[in-house]
Amino acid sequence: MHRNDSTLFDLQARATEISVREVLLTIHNRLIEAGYEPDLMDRISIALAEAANNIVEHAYADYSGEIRVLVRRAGQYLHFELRDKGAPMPGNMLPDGRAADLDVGVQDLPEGGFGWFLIHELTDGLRYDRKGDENILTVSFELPAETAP
Amino acid sequence: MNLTSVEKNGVRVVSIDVERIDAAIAIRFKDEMRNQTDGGPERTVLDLTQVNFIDSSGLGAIVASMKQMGGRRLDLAGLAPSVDKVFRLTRMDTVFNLFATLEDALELS
Repeated sequence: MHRNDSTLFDLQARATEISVREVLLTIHNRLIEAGYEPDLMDRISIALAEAANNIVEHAYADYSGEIRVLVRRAGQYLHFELRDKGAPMPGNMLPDGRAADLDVGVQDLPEGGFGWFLIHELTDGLRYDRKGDENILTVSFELPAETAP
Repeated sequence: MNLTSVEKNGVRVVSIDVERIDAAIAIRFKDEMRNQTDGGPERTVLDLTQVNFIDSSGLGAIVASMKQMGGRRLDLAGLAPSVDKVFRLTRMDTVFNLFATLEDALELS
């Protein structure tokens, strides 16, 4: 195996907003400690928060369960694999991320629907698989060549 | 999470003492914002200096906070790079006035 191809860590938690926050903070702190740069970590933290919140709110809308996050380094990429046993994505497909329409009156401004747009904007790769009763969402980031640890 | 407010030169300044405005506190944040902004002056500045992370639920709660102010103005100050990024990507920087620091926001008035 290449020196840079490895699972960095594997976390699991109840899919609740509070537990998800702890997992996201753990990932953030460990990767900052490992030397990943703050701007990349901002992108990662926002995208993972949106993906994980979607699992809590939508996949587990009708029942509760676990969420697992595997963090893998493969060459110049960081991959985050989010696994859950909630409901599949609508149509078994990745939702597309359209920008919200802000050309409306103040009272009609959107208060949600930004999540998938942010995920698409902030990531360098996205993949969704449904395997058996499991959702597997892989969120990938290309590392800046010179600064990656 | 605690919100506190003071008035400076006719502007209400609301401060929040948490590092994250995320899905776990979004609804409570919006309700607390109502308490802090009800009966306030024409302009309120939300001081986000302590906040280093916001997700789309938090963003939605700030939009909702502005809407419940019934046409009075809500400006935002002290945005960390990550918070600023969320506002710019969603183009919410065209809806809110964003200031790098609270001092910048208050200079305007």
